Amino acid sequence: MAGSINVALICQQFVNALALGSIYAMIAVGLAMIYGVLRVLHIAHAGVYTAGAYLGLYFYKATGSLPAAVVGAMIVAGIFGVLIERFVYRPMLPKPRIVALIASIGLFICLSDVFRIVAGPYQLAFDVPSVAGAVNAAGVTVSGADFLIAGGTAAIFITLWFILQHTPMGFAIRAVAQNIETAKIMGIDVNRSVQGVFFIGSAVAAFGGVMVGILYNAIYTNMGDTVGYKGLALIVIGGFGSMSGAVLAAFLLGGAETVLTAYSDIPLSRDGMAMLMLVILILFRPQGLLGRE
Amino acid sequence: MLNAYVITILSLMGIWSVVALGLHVITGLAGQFNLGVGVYMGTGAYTSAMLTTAAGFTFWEALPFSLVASALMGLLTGCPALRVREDSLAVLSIGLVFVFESLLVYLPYFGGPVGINHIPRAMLGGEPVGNWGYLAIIAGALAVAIAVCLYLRRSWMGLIWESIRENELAAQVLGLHPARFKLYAFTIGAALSGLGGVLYAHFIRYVTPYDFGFLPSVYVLAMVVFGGLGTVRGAVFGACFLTLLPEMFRFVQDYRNLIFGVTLVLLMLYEPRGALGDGSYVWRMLSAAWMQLRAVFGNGRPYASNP
Repeated sequence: MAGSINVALICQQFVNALALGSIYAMIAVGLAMIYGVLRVLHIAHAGVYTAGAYLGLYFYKATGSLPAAVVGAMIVAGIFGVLIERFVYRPMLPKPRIVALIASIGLFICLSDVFRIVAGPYQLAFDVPSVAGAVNAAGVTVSGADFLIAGGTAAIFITLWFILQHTPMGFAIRAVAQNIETAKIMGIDVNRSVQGVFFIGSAVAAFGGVMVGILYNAIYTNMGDTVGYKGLALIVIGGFGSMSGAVLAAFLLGGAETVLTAYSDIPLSRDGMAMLMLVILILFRPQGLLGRE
Repeated sequence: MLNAYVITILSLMGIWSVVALGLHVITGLAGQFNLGVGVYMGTGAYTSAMLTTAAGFTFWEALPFSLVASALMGLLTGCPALRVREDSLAVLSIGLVFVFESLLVYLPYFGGPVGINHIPRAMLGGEPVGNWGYLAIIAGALAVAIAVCLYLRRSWMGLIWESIRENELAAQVLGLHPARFKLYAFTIGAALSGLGGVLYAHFIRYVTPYDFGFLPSVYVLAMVVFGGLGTVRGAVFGACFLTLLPEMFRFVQDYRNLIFGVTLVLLMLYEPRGALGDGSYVWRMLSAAWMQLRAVFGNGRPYASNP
């Protein structure tokens, strides 16, 4: 009897870890793509993620349909990302790297204030009746939101893989990520590729934001903060600019965070522990999980 | 008329200037990205707070210990800089500041989330100093910090830092030891920021872990870059201005962070060298005016117009 409970508990933790890892992966993949093409630490990505969650809620209330809300949030957030690139990062590219970093921080601070002013300082509920139920099998509870996240993440990553590997746009993006000057010489429209990256990255982050809002049934102004910082650490661990590395690191972090929170008594908060692991990993593998020496 | 409000603002400007000067040494002089200056500030503040409340030390007795503690923290957190650089280092320092904050919150030894309160005032001549006296102490500390930074800039160490900042490989080829000098920068910078933290702790008189988290650290970096990275005047001006900015916009209380963020973005877009950095518009104008002034009181001709 005790054995079966244990197995159920482990399965439950596995489900939790998978959901958490998916969320991290969705924010890290955008950051990794953006770092790959522009070499910018896009701290304001956390703001885009939160914006996605608010937009999703807004569209859901306006249309009443979840798919419409998700797609709407992704498109608007994607356009928002493109605008950030066009009006904030592009003029700063020839300047020292710290300039774009500070601007990103400024943007991030001002975005969280914008959310507070527009949507109010209080936590908003994201009630979606169609996914509210939960499947309970052999002691493992899998909520509808978990299914949604797992399915959504799979769909997003398959689409992303297809776009990057099999479309001219993806080809251009990969070329720009490898070497911006050479890509330019080869006749690739660098600006359009970079905008594509920002559109895709921001849209995926918005998807993640909506999913987190549904999973925890809560949207608040600084929900993106810690996820965003962890995302930055994840792209370092994944090996800068390596998307697969970032995704791998995201799932590892999701797993490790769940396990350590459940089975250890290190006197650190969940986020502190995750950050400690990330710091240690960066120290011992500075080139990243999948990076080469 | 200088009332308590003005004294408070002036004191805060001084305190943040000292903290910003610490980061100026690490990021401005030695070129090591750091988004975690709160760790050093917090080490100084917490050491002093704990020594004065729990161990019965006075402000002056606790001061050297606090400075040494934050310098050691700088040495410790400087070690990663030997292995990783640039963006990895920036991200690493974000991680460190979260670990630090989380440790302070979760170890009951440090007072937990509520932190430490009832921190005594500084004593001078057997009685607690008032607001004016403390402002004078802050001004003295700021003067010392400025002197240290100016001296460092001109010393051999400053030159070596500059060469490491501009081209680490070339510095190495010249036979310099980047690792050693990076550690020096972290140690000295952390001690200065720790000094700021001590002043902060005995000014506000209670400390919580959240005072030294990620956002305050980012504000300090913003101050240094805002004024002009790599210059003492920039760090001090940035710290004073960004402390003053929310006060100036008190009438739009609700939009303070919005204005702060927009100001940063606009400055980075139109004056990336910082408001008073070398080569910025304001600084060029000021230098030109200074040259004119010297010419007027000198030989009567601007130097620039000499044939």
